[in-house]
Amino acid sequence: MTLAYQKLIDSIVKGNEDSAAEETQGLLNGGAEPMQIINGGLIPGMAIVSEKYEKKEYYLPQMMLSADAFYAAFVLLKPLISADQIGGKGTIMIGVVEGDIHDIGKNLVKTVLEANGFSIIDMGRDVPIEDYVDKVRELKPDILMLSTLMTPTMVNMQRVIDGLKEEGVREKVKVIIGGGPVSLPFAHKIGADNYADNEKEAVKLASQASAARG
Amino acid sequence: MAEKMSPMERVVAALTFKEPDRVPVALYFQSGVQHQLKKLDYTWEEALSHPRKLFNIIEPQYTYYGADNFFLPVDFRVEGEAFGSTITYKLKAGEGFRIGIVTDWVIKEPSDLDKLTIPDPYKSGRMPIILETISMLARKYPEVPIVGFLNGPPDTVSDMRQGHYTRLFKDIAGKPEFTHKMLDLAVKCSIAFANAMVKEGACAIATVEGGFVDEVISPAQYAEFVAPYHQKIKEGISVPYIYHQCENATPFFDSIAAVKPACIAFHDSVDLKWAKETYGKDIALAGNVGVSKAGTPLLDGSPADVMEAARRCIEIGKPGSGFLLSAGCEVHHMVPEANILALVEAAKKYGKY
Repeated sequence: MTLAYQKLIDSIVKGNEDSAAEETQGLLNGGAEPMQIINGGLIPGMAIVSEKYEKKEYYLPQMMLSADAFYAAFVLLKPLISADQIGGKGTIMIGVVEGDIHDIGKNLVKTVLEANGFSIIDMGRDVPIEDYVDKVRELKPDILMLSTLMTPTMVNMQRVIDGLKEEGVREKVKVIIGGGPVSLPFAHKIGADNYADNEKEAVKLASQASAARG
Repeated sequence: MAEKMSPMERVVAALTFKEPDRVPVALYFQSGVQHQLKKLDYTWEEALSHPRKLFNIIEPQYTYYGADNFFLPVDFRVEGEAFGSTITYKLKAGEGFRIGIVTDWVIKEPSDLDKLTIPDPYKSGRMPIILETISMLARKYPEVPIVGFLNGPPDTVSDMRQGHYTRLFKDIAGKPEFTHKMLDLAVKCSIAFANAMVKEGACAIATVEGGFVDEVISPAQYAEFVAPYHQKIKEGISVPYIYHQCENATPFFDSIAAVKPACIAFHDSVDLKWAKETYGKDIALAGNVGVSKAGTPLLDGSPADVMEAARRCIEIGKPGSGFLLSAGCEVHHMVPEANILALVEAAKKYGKY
């Protein structure tokens, strides 16, 4: 690995937006291919960040600075890459359910999925049930990931799934849920396909679904 | 049959490790008052904007549910609003209700912090309404402890700083000195508001540390950015300080205990037996019947399930006094009323000394 790639990885691990952008631009100027920069810098950088989070060396404050550094680099590369290159593993629609504005967990999961080659449709937070149903029908994602941090809004996960069933699109999309108050038994109870406890688990489940699709 | 002690006598006995007639029930009613909004045909905005209406939704905590305390305010936005952030009642909360969220923050740039002053609790935001309601409750129910609620210091900052928690987390990692400055100002507001609540009749102050939980920040960050600010509040008031930590408080318990609050209240993910044995000889404990996760007794169980979970808590917490039966977190609006009543019933049935 060249020093420039190591510097890019370090910038992401340390959460330094400016130097992540500078190193990325430097690599591009030097003739590196965008996908090469993603695979050699961005993905390994975020993998180290995830590992540190798992080992409890990093917590959310550091994770979020690293996510910013990742995006500072990624925005320079994204326009240069074709859609089939970037989202090679499939498309994931992700959002926080209606009635809940807590989106930190959702944003972290989104970052790590994006760093792992998934194409993301970010629905945002406090998203009406009907919007999920309409957009699933229109954009046909492979997976829908729903998040909530609050107990009272868990019920809206069920309502989204019910809406997908009523519109006849439930069987066309995998539904994975996550967030503080929910669990695997709850996922089964409301008719979701699975539950992810953290960002790593979300990537694992999404990758398994991607492999199963071939 | 009339009980031997008033709620005030019972709670004071429990907090001071004397023997009460039975285990008291301390409840943190927050969005759980939505049951009352429905009965009284109030919106959230109406109920929080008038002392008489606020009184009407708080009073049943004791008169209907039978808790050994009143708890107010019942939303988290009071301090941020007092500083000048704008609340809009737009977030759906089920059954047609919409709760308030911050939609415009008073600190947009770091330089905005220097323009802020400590809000006067008798003039700022909804604080005067809360103070008048406390005064009304104290006059009518002198035998029931009124617990004044303060937002946890980081929660208050997240209501002041544009970008909410997302921004605050990055500030912690990237701008620690600025974060401390915001927390310092937030705590000065908390102390002023707490002392005004005490002046009007609150006899304890409780806080809920809801945003900074175990999977979010490290014990070292907690010891730097959270616990010292609770210490300042505790030192700034003259009444018992009740410290609730959301989610799994286990990694933070040493920091919380070092604050020396009168009582620590915690979630059902904390092992009550461990907490009782490790900390419960010096500090009263309140907990911890599950309420906030799918499948927990208060949320998804029957009244019999609640009674059984409460019985197990009482069995561990009651010996030696210093224990209040409580939900593991706020009583929110998805908790059936029958389950709230069952929790209180359990204290009467299983909690006698």
